[in-house]
This record gives sequence, structure tokens and C-alpha cells, in this order.
Amino acid sequence: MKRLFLTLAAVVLLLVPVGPASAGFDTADLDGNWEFFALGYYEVYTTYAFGSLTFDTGLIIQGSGQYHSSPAQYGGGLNLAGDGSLTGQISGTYADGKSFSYQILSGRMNSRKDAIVGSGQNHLWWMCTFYLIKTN
Amino acid sequence: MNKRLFFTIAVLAGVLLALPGSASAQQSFDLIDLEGSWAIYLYGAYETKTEHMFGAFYLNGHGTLTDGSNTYRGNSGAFLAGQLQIDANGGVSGFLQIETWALRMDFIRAQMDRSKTEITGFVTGQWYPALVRMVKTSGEPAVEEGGEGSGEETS
Repeated sequence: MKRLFLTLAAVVLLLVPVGPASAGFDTADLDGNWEFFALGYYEVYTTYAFGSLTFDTGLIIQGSGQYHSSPAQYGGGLNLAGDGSLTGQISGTYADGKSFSYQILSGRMNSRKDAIVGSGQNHLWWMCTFYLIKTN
Repeated sequence: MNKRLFFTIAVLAGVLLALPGSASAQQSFDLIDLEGSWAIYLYGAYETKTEHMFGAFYLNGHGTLTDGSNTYRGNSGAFLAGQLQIDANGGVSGFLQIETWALRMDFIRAQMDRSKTEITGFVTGQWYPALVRMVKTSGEPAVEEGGEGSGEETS
């Protein structure tokens, strides 16, 4: 009976799933695909961009979408702290190699770990709002 | 003893594996996920002009807007029409048209979140693309029973 109890206890420990929210946040929570949206405005200038980004250990390993009205390729990376706060830079190229970047100065991942909202600026210091929505 | 042990482990494993999965599970979307009442918030800016809208509307099971009202740049009015679609990955397309200046907003790129309670994206504004956020105000969100984050908003 004692052997049975020990075996069952071991099986329970192996099978209990790790709760995603109760375990805090980790860079691995960024892994996967996200839809990115950015909008900023300064004086009379507006910047907007969107794209599909794939993260691996905080780095954007693949990304494509649109910067203003031009097709764009994305790169960069984000840092996710244990409390869910987030910083980093999402950059890219468009139209014959011109570059752009968005810096997330303060962001936050939700407890479901499927959405991020942030605030920051672009490479021209135009103030921006950011959203990332996880797709898988 | 072995038979009893095997049976116990099998039952235990079945129960534990049926528990809610991790946040990395793939989500599938369907047109029915659009059905219900939604609140909408929009902001856009272009040169010296800015635009904003807030409102509420109802989408039926076909993604058709059947009722709603909004305030666009201070002007209150109804929605003239609306038709949204959603693909299997949660990408949302379609349009909304408001009474004020009969302005039509076409979805450029938008995404429903995995709880199926929020949509974020860009629509064609009056002068330039505008950021839109929709929050579901009715219906059952598709999150696990008792799962973390149920009903929570990111913003």
C-alpha cells in the first residue's frame, strides 16, 4: 500500500500542469506569434504600423506587415520582467531599405499572457501606443 | 495490486490531463464568435485633424450589425450598416458605417484575442488609418471555466 501511495504521489507531481499565471512571467511567455499594432502622433505627424511577429526567447525571428502604406519587415526584441512589465524595441525596414523603430518604454502583459499594451515612442520621438495580441 | 494500480493511475491521468491547458494552446475562431454586443473605441490623427469615436452595437451570428449608436467627433448618431468577418486565426475584416457624414470604416488589419472578448486593429479613418478597439459586452467569453484572467482587460 505504501508503494502504491508513493507511486501515485509521483504520478500526480508529474502530471499537474504548471499554471501560466500563477508562475509569474518569463521571457518564454513571449515565444510564438503576435499581431503588432502601433499608432503615434506628434504635432502634425502620424505614424502607424502593424504586422505579424514571431518571437523566440524575446527576439523577433520573423516579422512582416506594413509601415505606414509600405510593406515592411520586422526585427528587434522585447524584455519581459517577472512581474509582467515589458520594455524593448520593435524595428524594421521598408521601401528600399529605409528603417524605422518603435521603442516600448513601458508595457504590460496581461495575466492570460495573450495581450500586451504599451506606451513609448518611435525613432523620431513621436509618442506612440502599442498593442500586441497573441495568435498562438 | 498491479491491476488496481494501473486503473488508479489511468483515472488520475485522465482527470489531470482534462484540466485547463496552458496559454500556448492554439485557438480557433468562427463567425459565431462575433455575435453579441460590443463597445467600440477609435482614435486617429492626421496633420491638424484628429478623430475619435465611441459607441456600442450588436452583431448577429452572421457578423451583421443590427443595432447600435455612436458618437463621432462629438456628433451622436446611429450606425448605418456594418458587416464583419473573422478567419480561423482570428483576423477580422469588414466594415462599419456611421450616420455622421455616412463615414465608412473598412478594417485594414484587426485581430480578435484568444478570450474572444476583444478586437484590436486599424480601420480606415476619415483621413488616415485609425486605431480601433472593440470590447465584448455580452456573451460567454471562450475561456476555461475558472481559468485565470477570465473577464480581465488589458487596458
